[in-house]
Amino acid sequence: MYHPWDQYQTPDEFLADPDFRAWVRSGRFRKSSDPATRWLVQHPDRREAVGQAMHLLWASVLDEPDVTDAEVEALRQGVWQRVEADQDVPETPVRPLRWWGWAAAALVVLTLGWLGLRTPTETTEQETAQTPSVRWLNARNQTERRALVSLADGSTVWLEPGGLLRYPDRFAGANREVVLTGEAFFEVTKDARHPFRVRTRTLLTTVLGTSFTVRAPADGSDARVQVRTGRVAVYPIGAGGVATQPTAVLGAKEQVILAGVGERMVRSAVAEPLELATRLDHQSFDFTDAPIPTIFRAIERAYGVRIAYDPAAYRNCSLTTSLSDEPLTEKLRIVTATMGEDVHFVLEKDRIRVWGRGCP
Amino acid sequence: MRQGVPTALDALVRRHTRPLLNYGRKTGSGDDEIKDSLQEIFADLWTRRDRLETVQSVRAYLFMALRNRLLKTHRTAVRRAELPDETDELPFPLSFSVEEQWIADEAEGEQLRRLNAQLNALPPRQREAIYLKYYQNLTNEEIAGLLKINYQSVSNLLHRALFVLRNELAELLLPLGWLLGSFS
Repeated sequence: MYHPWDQYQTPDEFLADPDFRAWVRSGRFRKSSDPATRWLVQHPDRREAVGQAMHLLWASVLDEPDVTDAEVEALRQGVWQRVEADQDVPETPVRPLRWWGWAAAALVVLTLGWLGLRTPTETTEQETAQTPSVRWLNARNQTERRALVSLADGSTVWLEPGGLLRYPDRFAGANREVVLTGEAFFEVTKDARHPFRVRTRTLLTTVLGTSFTVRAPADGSDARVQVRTGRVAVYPIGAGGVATQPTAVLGAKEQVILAGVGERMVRSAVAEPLELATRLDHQSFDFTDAPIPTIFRAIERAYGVRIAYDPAAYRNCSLTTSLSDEPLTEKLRIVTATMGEDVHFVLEKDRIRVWGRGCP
Repeated sequence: MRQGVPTALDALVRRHTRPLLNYGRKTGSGDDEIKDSLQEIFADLWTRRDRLETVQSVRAYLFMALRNRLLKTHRTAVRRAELPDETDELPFPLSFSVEEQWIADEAEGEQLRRLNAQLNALPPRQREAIYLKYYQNLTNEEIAGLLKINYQSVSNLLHRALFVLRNELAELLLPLGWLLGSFS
């Protein structure tokens, strides 16, 4: 009668057969009733090869500690938790920006990790549900430098190292809302009909158009909102959700600090404005008949970025414009639009590039 | 699974977790890291289920996914600790032991122990190949894909192990005792 092992001559061939290995390891080879054992008795010429194969197996035993059912079950649950966390937050590349003169930096975007941010409140969920075609994106700054996130409405967010920003790929709905853990400096485009909101675990900050900093540390230490220009309203978020009345309406150079959850918010003047705010303060963005290099240099200095362009191409350009209070991308848009309809800018990995024929 | 039936993912997890976990543990990676990676792999499969391609062996695919992740983590750790580049392959520190149960006499035991020592002296990749073939039952092609070497190299790797065997056991005859007498 045919047996698959009829064809095996060398130890390799026996070893290659999983059934052979199981026959050896299980100890079934000792059972005279086992068909494979009977085969061997009938084929004494293979005894040597079989013996050698068995010895290899016996010399290469591995003790594998049992994986318990509980471990498998725990893993299975972990899988579903991660699936839920990843659900509406796909991976997407965000243009990183390298700082002129600084060490290399890149903004890395991740899907929501299993340690990650839990979707903060119900309201956000509802808004997302009402606009199903909006994709939510995550930007996490794992570098040592501030990183730029550019939003669909032209607003810009300077995310500090360790920060995480959740934002939609486009703003639909009554509000423009983003979610922050960590610290970021916001420059928000003016749109009175669509208030811009920054939601953190304990604070909701609403603005109309302005520049301000929100600090919402993941470790639960003091949260802070600091205004550079414009006005913002700050609502604490407690157990019952967002407060109906703002606890503070802040103007320029004012800040509010919220220590822990449910604590009082302490309002004060800004004693130590953050670096970017200071640099913007010290840089004038009012230009009269200014040549392009002057304008670009002002932007470079204030934001710590590099602008690549061909100075010769814009020799004839001189602009009169006021760019204060506009986010970086808006500043660039205004300048390039004024230079000519063929002039464009793009945010690249390590610089801003401006090109096109302008100023005829 | 492609149709989004959750029990399909459950079945996948239940069927493959044990061998994957066992394999991961052999590579010298920590349990937390392995379980983390596995959760990510399975979750990704589900999330991208409408974009999945058919594979010949789900098992081999999962092994590859796990190995790649563990290798990446290992290499990052090596770089951070500024270790020399040669250590950037997975360590595979497992050592084989001897099956004492069936040893008939001291001579056989002695030979097995010598063989065992030789096997454990093999470089990590060869040990891994032996493990993958004789414990995880992967085919030579699958092992080639996993270790990122060609098929011929896998055959060579395994042959080398058997070569060791042949040298060691050139004259060992299978003890006849168990064949003739001690059946149960």
